Amino acid sequence: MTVVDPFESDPDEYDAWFDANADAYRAERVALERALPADYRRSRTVEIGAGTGRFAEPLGISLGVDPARSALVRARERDIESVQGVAESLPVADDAVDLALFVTVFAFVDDLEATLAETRRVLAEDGALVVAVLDRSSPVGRVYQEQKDENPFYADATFLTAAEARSALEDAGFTIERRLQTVFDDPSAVEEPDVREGHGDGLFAVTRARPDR
Amino acid sequence: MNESLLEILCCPLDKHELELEDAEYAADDDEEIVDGALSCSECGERYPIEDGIPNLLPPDMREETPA
Repeated sequence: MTVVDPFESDPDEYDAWFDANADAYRAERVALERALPADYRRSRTVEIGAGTGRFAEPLGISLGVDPARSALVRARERDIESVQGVAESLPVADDAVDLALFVTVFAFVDDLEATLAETRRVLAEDGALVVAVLDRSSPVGRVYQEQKDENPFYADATFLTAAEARSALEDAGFTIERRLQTVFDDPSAVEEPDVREGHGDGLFAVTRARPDR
Repeated sequence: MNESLLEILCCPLDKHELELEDAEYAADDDEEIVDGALSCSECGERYPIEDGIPNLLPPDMREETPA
């Protein structure tokens, strides 16, 4: 999780995407809200790679972990408890978390296997993991993949497909519970939130999973 | 950071408990730590808290070496 440079130097520009693409951002929030588990304690929630807190705040996540300090300063202004740390070596105690959230972060971690092992360690036995990836195999994802070198935030990203994310979760000892997708067109062209079951068509692919018993 | 966060944070290296040192609290909130350090009860590694944000990056990933 060392790919922090553009996020560290330019949290304003990163944050600006959410204002410029307000409808896509809203559709993504709706998809994440629907994927949240039915019951968890808010005080035991963490977003890993929380950045400026754009998702943690509306979703009611209490703790944000991110390597980029300048982004966390913003998250703190949004009343998110903010801790500098990396996904592969989480500064969070065993079984301390009911809900762990990753929004588009799998594309930026150095070691996804270590990230998922750490997530399992911090999740309580009945905890849940909610993951959103930008699905490289979706129609919009294919465009992102082609154009990623032109975007300072994505040049170093390794986009996964939703299927690859699912395999990584299963290999790490998670059972998939729910799959949702949204953003079927260019994010700047999204209007009403359109969230559908399954994966394959939407850029923003959300998965809820739980640790295997 | 709120002092209650100590219950769920740990050393990123060996996952042992952290102890609060040299804590300075916010003027308007006696549970909000704005400055200080967290030190690992096992390995002794010290992690700074600055402006309310603890730096719990593994020490080899810190940008600057603390004095």
